[in-house]
Amino acid sequence: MNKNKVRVMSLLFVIFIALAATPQMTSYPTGLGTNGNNGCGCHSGGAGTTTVTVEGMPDSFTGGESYELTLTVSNPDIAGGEISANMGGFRFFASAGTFGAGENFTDLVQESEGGMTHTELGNDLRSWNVTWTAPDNEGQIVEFEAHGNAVNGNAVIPTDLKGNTGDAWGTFEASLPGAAALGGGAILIEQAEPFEVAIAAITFGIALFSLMLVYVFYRNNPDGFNLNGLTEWLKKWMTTTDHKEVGTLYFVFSFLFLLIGGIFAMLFRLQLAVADNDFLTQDQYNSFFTLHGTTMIFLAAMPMIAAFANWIIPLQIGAKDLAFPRVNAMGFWMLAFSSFLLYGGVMAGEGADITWTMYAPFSNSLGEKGASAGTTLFVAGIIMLGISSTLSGVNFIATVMTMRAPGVTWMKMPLFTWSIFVANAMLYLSLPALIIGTAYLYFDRTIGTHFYDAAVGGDPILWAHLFWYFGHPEVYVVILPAFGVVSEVLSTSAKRSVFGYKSMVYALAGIGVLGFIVWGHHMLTSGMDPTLRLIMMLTTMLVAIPTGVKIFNWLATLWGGSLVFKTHTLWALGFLVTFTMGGISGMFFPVAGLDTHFHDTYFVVAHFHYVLVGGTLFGMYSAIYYWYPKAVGRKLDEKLGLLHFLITFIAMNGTFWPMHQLGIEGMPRRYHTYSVDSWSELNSFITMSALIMGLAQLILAWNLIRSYKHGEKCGKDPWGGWSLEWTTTSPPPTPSFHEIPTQEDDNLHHVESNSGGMFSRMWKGVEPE
Amino acid sequence: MSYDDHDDHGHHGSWAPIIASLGTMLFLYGFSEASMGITAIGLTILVWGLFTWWKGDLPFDGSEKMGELKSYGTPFGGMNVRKAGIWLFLMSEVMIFGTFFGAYIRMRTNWNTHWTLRDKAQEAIDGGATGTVDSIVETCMPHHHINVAACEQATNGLVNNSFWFTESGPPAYHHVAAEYITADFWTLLPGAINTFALILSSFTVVLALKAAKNVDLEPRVRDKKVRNYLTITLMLGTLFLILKLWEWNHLIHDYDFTISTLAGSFFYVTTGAHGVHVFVGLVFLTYFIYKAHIGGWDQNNAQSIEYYGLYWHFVDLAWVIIFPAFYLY
Amino acid sequence: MGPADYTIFWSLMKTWNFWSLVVGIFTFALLFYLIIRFRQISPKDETPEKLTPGVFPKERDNLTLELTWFIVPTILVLYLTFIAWQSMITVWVDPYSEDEDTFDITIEAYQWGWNFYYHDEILIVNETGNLSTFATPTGTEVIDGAVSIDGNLYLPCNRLIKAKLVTLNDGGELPVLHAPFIPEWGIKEDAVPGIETYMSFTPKETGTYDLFCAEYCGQQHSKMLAKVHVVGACG
Repeated sequence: MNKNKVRVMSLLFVIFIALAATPQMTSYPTGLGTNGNNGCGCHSGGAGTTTVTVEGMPDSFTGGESYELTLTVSNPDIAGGEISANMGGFRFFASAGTFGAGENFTDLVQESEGGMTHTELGNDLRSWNVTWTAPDNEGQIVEFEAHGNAVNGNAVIPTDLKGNTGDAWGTFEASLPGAAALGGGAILIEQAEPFEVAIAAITFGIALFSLMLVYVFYRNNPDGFNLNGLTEWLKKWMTTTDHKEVGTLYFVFSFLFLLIGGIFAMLFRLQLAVADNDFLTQDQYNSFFTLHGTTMIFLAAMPMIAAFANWIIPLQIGAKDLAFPRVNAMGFWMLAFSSFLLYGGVMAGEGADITWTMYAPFSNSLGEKGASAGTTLFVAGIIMLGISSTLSGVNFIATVMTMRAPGVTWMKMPLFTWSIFVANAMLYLSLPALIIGTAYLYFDRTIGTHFYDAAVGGDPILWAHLFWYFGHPEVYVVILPAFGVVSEVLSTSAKRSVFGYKSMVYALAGIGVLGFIVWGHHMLTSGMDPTLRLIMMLTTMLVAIPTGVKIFNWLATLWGGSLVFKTHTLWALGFLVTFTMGGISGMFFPVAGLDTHFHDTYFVVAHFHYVLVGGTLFGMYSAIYYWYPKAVGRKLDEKLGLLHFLITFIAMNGTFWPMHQLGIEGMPRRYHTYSVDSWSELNSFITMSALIMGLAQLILAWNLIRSYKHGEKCGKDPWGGWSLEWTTTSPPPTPSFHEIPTQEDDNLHHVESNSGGMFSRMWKGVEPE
Repeated sequence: MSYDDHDDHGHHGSWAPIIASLGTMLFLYGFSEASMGITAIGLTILVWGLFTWWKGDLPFDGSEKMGELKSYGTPFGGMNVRKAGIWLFLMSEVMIFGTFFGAYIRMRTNWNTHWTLRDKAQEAIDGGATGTVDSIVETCMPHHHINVAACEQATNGLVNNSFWFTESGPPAYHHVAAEYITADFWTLLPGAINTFALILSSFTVVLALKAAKNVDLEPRVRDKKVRNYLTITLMLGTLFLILKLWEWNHLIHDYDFTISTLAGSFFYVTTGAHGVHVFVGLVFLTYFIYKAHIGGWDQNNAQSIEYYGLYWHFVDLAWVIIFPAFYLY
Repeated sequence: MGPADYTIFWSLMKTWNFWSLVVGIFTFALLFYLIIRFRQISPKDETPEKLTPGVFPKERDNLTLELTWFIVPTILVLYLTFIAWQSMITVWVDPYSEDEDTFDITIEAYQWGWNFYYHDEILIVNETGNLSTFATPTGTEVIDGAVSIDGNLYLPCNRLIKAKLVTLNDGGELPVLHAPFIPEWGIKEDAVPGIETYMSFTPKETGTYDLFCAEYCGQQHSKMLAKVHVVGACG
């Protein structure tokens, strides 16, 4: 075997070990291997040598009848006994039916998460009585699962009062058919479990996705289609540091997670379709919307932006690659692996349920009423995302600052590059607050610090400050690149230069600065200092001004132009409509008298989806149709594109516009269900629109795959853009420029003297040297 | 045009990013699930990734072919791109430590204790105490330190010992590490030594850089000098970490100042984060020393030592701010 | 549905709706005019600038125009900020105010429910329709002077309610954030462990209204509901 093979093999081995280790998470009765809600702190170790038996099981059950079951744990090696407490414990679950305490056992056992467990008092036994009432449906098979442990408790050497001197697990499993199921009757198809639907959909999606990868590999080179070729091909993608290839990785990753985030959204929209619905359990609902938010922001929107930044920035500024190619690849792989941590919890049935804002102190509480066990992994994933974004942020800023080709001066830079520059500057200066905030949270959950615990004087509002100090700039981090794309697309489509280039740049920079001092408007009702509230209200209102300047500049760009309606133009125009609406509704929040009502209602949901879907996503879709020919050498299908645009645009408004009304009526967000019947109609309509919108994205997926081989071929500059990326071939060579290009300038009067200080030279667009 | 007319530096792939990321993930997974085995595996893979990275870097000779690009245009024109990168990275580090300080200052100014105290003060005034809310608060917490006796007197006994200290669990008002550290000379000493050790180590890094850049020296002498100065830096950094751990041990066992109090949380996490920065610096230093040992540094690639030095100076500087804020105040 | 007509919410909302419509209609009318007027008629249409790959196009700007859409929104925003500022006084409560005329209550939030405590007299119609009067000492100690009635909140009509918000640790590991939210008066404020927060409002019509928890607080966040009954004469 050669060296590379050894490496691949060892890597695979490690992955295998990691995968093999994963199921142990679920085999602990308490979920992810942390201590149980009612177990003592000693249950993380121990071997499965204990025998668990259940007596009193019938051969088959009759619907609605109660059965008395006796659960016993025994282990000859662990003396229990006569002496005293803490010698055993159990948890008992059934897939259907309800549990109750057995006769004389009401103080000794209690319900827990739908099953039974012992109470503190019941810890002193090794045998317990419970009753199980069978479900009405006799056509099903009920699965029983019990976990018990035998402990020698404080019996022998009471070292730490926790019974660490002997502890071993055991498991009991049984299936109990109903009378109808036993009697040869057809086993009714069990009702679909939404959680399983989600997992199945994701697994199926990933399988399809892998197939697609293999197909793409095959189409690339049908002759070289063999296993060796495949490993070589995979190796190429796993080790690549080329900005275009890393950009492609980012894109594929973000698109996959866009669809996964969409699956979650559709599932909980189904749950919300009618009043008092119980399609999802509360836990499922809570972890689904948590993952939806985090996935869409961190695993879909930001990677999608990073994908275009990777692809386009070096091409636009005339650089051969990014400043630090390996750091760039590191940024991507950190992101890719963090998704395992984020999704680890939900895959084990213990998904984080702390919302994407992760508000402490709820997110650092561990008990029965606290956040679920997967939260720790989730928080670890967020820390990893922070590392990833810092790496790529530094990289992009360094690239733009140091690697602009001659002629690409600060005030002659394409607006997309400007937007990425400002966005990343904001990102990497605000991320530390999130990283430190989540690190505090992580340590609270793992090593016992008390940053957010009010009981010892910790500060719950500290989390909100740290999170939103990051969180608000983050909002601009995802919207500014969309501004950049729209500027490019509108200018190209109208065949005119952008109106007021300088004021566009100043507006971007202005938003970049203002973005840092408005975070408090997320906390107007949080018990924050009233003086701060007033300041934040003022600054928030001011953000509207540079944003307004940008919108009017875009309109003026169209003036006197000759607008071509390509698909990317449509998305950009759609962006202008929906983003303006989102911008206007944003003006309602800094107002005290309105925010006390709107905060945490569906009005907020409507607003930020208008900005994130109608703004960021539309902008990124525009970028896909605009730059796909540059990356692939073929155009996307315009007819499919038009269809995709129309359906998405209409369904998007159908989904989010009614939420304004729900917000005014006072429907709180993050509610698993609602009992107000009058909200049902709008919610059903929203759900329908949401499903249509979700499915419409498959058109884009199909378009992307199909046009890869069958799209219309195109040359260097299919749309008539001016910036440097259109001077190179489609797809561009590697490295992206053999000869560093020079950007010419139509405004000759701008090249003046070399005098003045650094700033005046910067604004005049004159470079030193 | 600075990077015209040379062969395109090839885009060699690298396994380092994916390996290091996998290691980080396993490390975090293991740590979250309190599984030492997986944590160790993760750490090992992370180090493996670092080694892979360094292996690609070892022959680095400062040429453009090896990836050393010159910056062009305002504001970094003429500088190496890597230097701009390290400065930008340090800006984000400034924000990291800025966040630590922001959160710490919020705790030290008793942001929320103040509010409760104001309520109590108002209550005391309603009950007949003299003064205003502000004056009572000032009496109770002059300069953000509590004065239990004066406070009890000013509020007619309303804000007494039990307001500040609860019966069970840690006290409501938090003893900060400085109270113990400044208590006597021997507890203060390790921190003081550490401060000097770090400042001195910043100096030895500069000496190493100077030696590496010195074209007048014979290569053999130069390599030895560089190696020795870097080794001194390594030893000083190690001394810093050892003394710090000793000091933590002292605080935990002799004063019962543990991580489970609020002040303890801030103290250990902040100084610990700084310690991690020192440790990471030392890990990188071993690579530099190894390269010095095989004679890898000369005037063409000595800038790498300079960039490392920038990071090391930053860590030093952060300590110079942490020391008074956490040890003396 | 939504906040009552007499709340400050609607007076602000009317202003904001009006200006939203003005801005929205102006922008969209302009947008659609431009799209239709300046669409490409023939592919040979020329514009004053030629966009050539690799050439920074002729800049075009018009300082007067740009200043216009800088200054006009600034004036609008400052005007709106001024209006919004006034609402701050109504919405946020000074806990140290000496106003004697308030009806003081304490809302205690736990996972997952509410306790309501009264510090003034209230006339109550309970479920059996009987009238009874609760006279409680004007509470200094929240818990001691407390009366909690059947899990719902009873309020007198036409009095300024000052509610103190606190959290209770009910068996969970930590007390967590909650936020009582009463859409009828468009009012909410977080209950934060460790500190006390306040909100105030004036009911002006009798009736029964919903109270929600608006700050995510765990599994049964959506079940953390209560009813608010406004009783008595509104004169």
